[in-house]
Amino acid sequence: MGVKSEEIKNRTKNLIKDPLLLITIIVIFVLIAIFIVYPLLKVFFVSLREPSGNLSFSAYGKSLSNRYMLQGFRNSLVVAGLTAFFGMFIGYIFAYTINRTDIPFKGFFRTIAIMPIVFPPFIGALSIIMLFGFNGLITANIFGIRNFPVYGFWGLMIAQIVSFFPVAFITLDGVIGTISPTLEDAAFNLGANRWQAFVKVILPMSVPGIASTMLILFIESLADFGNPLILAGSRFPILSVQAYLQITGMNDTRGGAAIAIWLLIPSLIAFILQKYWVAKKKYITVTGKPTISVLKSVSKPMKWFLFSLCVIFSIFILIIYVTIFWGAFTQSWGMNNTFTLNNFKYVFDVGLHSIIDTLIIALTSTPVSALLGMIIAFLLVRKTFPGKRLMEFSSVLSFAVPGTVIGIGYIFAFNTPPFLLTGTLAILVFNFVFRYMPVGIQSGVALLNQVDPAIEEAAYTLGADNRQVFSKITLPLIVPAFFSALVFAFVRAMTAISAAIFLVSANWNLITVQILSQSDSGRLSEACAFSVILIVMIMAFVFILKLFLKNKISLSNNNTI
Amino acid sequence: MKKIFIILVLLMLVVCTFANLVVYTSVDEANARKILNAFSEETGIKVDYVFLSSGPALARIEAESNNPQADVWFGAPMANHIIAKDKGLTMPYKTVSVYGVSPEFYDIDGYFHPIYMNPLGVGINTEVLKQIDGPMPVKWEDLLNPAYSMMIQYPNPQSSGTAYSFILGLIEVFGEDGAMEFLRNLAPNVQTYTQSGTGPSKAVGPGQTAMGIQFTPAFFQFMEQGYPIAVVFPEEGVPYEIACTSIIKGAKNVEEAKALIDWIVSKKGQQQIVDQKTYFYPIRPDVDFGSLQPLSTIKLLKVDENWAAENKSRIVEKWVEEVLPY
Repeated sequence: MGVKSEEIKNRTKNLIKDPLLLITIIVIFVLIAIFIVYPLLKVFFVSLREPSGNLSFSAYGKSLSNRYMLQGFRNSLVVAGLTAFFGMFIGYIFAYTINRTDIPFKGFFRTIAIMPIVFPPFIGALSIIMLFGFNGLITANIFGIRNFPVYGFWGLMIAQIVSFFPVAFITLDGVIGTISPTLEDAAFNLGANRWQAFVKVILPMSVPGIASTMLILFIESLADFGNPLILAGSRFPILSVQAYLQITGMNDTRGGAAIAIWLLIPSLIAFILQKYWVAKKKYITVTGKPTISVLKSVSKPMKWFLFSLCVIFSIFILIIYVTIFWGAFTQSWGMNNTFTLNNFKYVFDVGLHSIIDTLIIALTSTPVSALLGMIIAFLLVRKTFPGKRLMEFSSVLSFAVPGTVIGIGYIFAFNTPPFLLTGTLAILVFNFVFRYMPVGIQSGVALLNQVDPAIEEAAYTLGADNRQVFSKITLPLIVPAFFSALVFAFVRAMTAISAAIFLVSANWNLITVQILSQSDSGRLSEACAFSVILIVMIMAFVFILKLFLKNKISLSNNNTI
Repeated sequence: MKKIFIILVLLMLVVCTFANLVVYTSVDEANARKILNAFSEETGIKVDYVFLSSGPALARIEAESNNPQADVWFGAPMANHIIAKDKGLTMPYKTVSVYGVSPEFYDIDGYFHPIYMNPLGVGINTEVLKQIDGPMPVKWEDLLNPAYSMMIQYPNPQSSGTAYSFILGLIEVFGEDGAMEFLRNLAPNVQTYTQSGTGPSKAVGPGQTAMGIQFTPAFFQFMEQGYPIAVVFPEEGVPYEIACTSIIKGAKNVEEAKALIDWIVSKKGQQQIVDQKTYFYPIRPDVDFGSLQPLSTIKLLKVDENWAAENKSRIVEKWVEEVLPY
């Protein structure tokens, strides 16, 4: 007892001694309170308030009382679990193959594995139908199958695994890339075979990365909205869509909010489980000691087996994108294949304004989101301060909630003074910053756990202060995580729809809203053209970022980004 | 630095005093643009607009009611505007332009005003129909033909007002029990129930299903783009939707909003609905219909909006119980 209070006293004392750290922590807490907790509390309050004005939990019982909603709850969990596993699995195969073998075309595979992160809302799902539907390119034209059940479980699984596995790849690429091959050398020297080296060394060391990617994938799948809206159909209900429909189709904000909060529970349980599990498994791999080695982790046949897996999957991904491009450059998708540029003429005519807006919003929110994510990751891994757990927990909240609910929450919270933000650029930027920051935090934490604190301690010993250590030591060391946070935040800001649809205004509109609107009114080719522009802009951003960061990546010698 | 700040403040003031009319449009972006541009050209009133489909628009107007961000809600079916009226989100304005408009198209208290109407129809991809060797349907009953097995899509009434209109229309034709029986018999032919009211057309256009049941403008849009689409209005009759517009309570530019209402209901505004190729039907009989299939050849079923609103949850639940599981 005495020891504990003594310790708290010491921690607090340490904080006061370091005003910059103290201020940073306070500012972050205030921001999280305003932009994450407050809107969610507003929604929670709405879900409790009965029309008569009384407060009760009746909406919660009601929303899950019928068989249909329960079925939706089960479907959501099953799909999310499977997406998390298979998405992680495929991401791991890609990351491992690229980092641990000397296969050709590594750059190509890396690009392909990142590409589906730009899975344009609605059009991505529609391209799955174009490939697997009645006249589907793959099912009907190649295999002659006319009745593949593209609407429902299978279509949704395909779409979600493809669109979410890049998140796994980016994180795992950073994690495996930082595991020094000398560790495998040591295992080989001790008489281990390749399989043992993998199972006993590499796999356990990537567990924190695996766990955090599975968590992210699980949560993303639960909150995903664009894919199930098109692919799930009513015979395979999905809860995030039901929450949206409850609010927008039935005008029942209260019931929709209750469904969303139900949905939050599995996300939070997954988060807590992952914390508990990973907290016990920490491995330090970046030690500042030499790490030169020759790649010999896999045998030749294994290498080509992994290579062909990557090839098959890459071809599949390419086909999806070819399908979208096909729609954008032809007169009518799937029916009249005459080449035309009219779709793009139309896009620049109608949508130039929203293209520019989207870019501005994404470019403003991205660096803020990524930097904030890194700072929080640094604080969480390296510092002790009161309320640390609370910060960790609350910072991921907004990520776990379906976008529709966040969007509604933002309107409830920011439509009155003192936070009058509706209709402005700020509300969109804040939403994107805080909604997609958790991915940066997760990958930052995963990477930092691998970095030996001794490196930072050395800097402190040489007289550096917190700010210097963070900017000169920590940040460069976690550049891969920073990079993935930047890419992720940018991509999500460009492709977000479910929350954004409530926050766009006459002055600030988004490409994704255009895609929705165009495809709703039967202009599929134009919607494809918008998607192509989205894809091109994001790939350009990733490419420029890579060029820019190329010389700064100093982590592992074989990291050929 | 200070100068820049002063200039910024001045700029903001200028922007505020010459604020444009702000519109939430549930008419799709491209068509809203055509109609509202025509309005701006004739009146000189500048319009800023955001596209929001009817559900999100209503949810958002409600959430913003303590500080409305828009002046006019433009588009969305009448039923949504009735809800907005009942929730006290809109304000009344009686326009003189309604003379000559059929009274079931507008609100007698002036809370909402008609923009256009759409009949519901069956959109058919003729190429796919050839592939499955199906005949061209002419009646609702024809859709039960086993040749169309798993080849029809229509939206889910839980999420889509379009689907509810469809069911109401069938109730007019077959009676309530007959309508449910019809839909249950139709179930083996249904490939999927889409979540959004415009979902079916997205599968019909590119040939991933043979038929879709929904309001018809998207099908006409596909036709114009060269897709092999035909539209059938079954001869027993079809329901229709009336897209309406309301002035939002607390609007900051009320005079401009009123001008928009006056214009859109007038003969001039209605003629623009046709001339701008929106593929919507005007709500006035006294305009030139151009190339649209004349309304006189389509049997329209009148729906009692009050009955529809009162019985919605009951009918939808019935559909979930008696049709969805089959």
